[in-house]
Amino acid sequence: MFDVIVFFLKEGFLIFRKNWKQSFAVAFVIALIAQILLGFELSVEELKRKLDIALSEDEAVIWFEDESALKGLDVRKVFAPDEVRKMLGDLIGDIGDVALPRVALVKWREGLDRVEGIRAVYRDTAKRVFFSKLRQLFLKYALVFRILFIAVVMIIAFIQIRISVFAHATEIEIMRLVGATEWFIKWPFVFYAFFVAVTSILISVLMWMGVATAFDFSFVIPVKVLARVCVVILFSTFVSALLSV
Amino acid sequence: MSFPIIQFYNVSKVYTNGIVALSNISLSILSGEFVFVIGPAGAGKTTLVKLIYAEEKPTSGEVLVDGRDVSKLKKWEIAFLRRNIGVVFQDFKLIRDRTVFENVAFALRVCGFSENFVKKATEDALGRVDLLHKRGMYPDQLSGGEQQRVAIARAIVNKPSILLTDEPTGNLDPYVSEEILQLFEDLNKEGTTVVMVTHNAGIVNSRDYRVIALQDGIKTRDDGKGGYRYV
Repeated sequence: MFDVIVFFLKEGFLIFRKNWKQSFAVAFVIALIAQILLGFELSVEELKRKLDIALSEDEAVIWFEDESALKGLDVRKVFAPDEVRKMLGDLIGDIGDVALPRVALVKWREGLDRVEGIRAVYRDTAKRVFFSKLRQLFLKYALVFRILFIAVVMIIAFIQIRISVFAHATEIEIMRLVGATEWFIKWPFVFYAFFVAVTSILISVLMWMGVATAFDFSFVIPVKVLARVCVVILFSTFVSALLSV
Repeated sequence: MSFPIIQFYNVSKVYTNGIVALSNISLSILSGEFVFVIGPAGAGKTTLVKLIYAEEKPTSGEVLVDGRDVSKLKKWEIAFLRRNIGVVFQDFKLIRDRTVFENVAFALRVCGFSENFVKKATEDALGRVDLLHKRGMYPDQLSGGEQQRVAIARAIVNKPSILLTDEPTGNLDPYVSEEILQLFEDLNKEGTTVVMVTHNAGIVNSRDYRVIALQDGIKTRDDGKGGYRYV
């Protein structure tokens, strides 16, 4: 098995070396596209973060019986009885000397209405629904963009691998002639695609470092985002190789 | 003990462009036989060879190799069938940017053999064709006869039971052609079935082997003992 993997690696590298100019050109184009994806992924992360903050800052007004109900809650404000009386008066008119419950503004969390001692929970759900919908919509479009990116990388890699396949027609003919299975014929090209992908990732990293150095950017690209871009490049080229031979 | 290793039953082959390459061919080749296939250009000789190693499928009829109908084989089964068939062509089909050793070893490596086995078997095969001393050279540094011997080494490195040769001496001078033929004869004496497609009347006439003649896709002759004539 080890010998077979070494053989695939060698053959993949030979294909890369034989067409090194084209291979580098394709890797460079993929790296350029990766910059667009990286910028997009960074925007996605930033917007997601802001939306998550907006959602996490969602607040609720609770009516409670005594202070023990507030235990464990993120209390933003406890209203004084006079304040409550004034607010209700503004809403429904004079309420006289009716005994009022205690009122507090707390950070929203799931299950708040089931906390012992809390009689009622009131929230501005419209804001939450808006941000949730915005987040869902945004992620949906982000997914479409990623699929589009994968498709573009796949098409570029597919064309390049097909060219390599034609350039290695003799080798493929001999492989078939001597009894190599179709899978065995595919794998050198899969490894070739892997080398192209790794080259494009290296070029991408150099570009990111170059940009960061040139503009003295203080931000650090999150590893998660980098990993996502790399996985997309590897996945796209891998699938292209499987489809193109 | 000989047994039919290649059998054609009413085999016809019509290409998609309408050309009839073979028409209703029936024949049987025994294991260990040496057979010449002769005929003018376009007679269907190469198609006959292609049908044996399953490069083409018959339009009608059955081609059995080692008792198995090749047209019914799946792709992976064809791959395994070909490991038992060596093929040698007129144009050698060598990889120009690989050494003699690499060209021969390639045939084993693509079948997934271990590197130890590849090294030993390749050296054995190159020894058989007397080219071990040129293992590090590239095809373009060799003469035509040497290149053909490399192709033969590649064809026999897997120790196939059938050796198909399609005009193997077409690009070679008479002296080298005779050398190549002797190599095939040695392999045949060891039990390999050899099917040799040729235009070379001198070679056919020099031996008393079975001759199958084709013309316009029809078998015109199947004689147990030699002679180069179409009918």
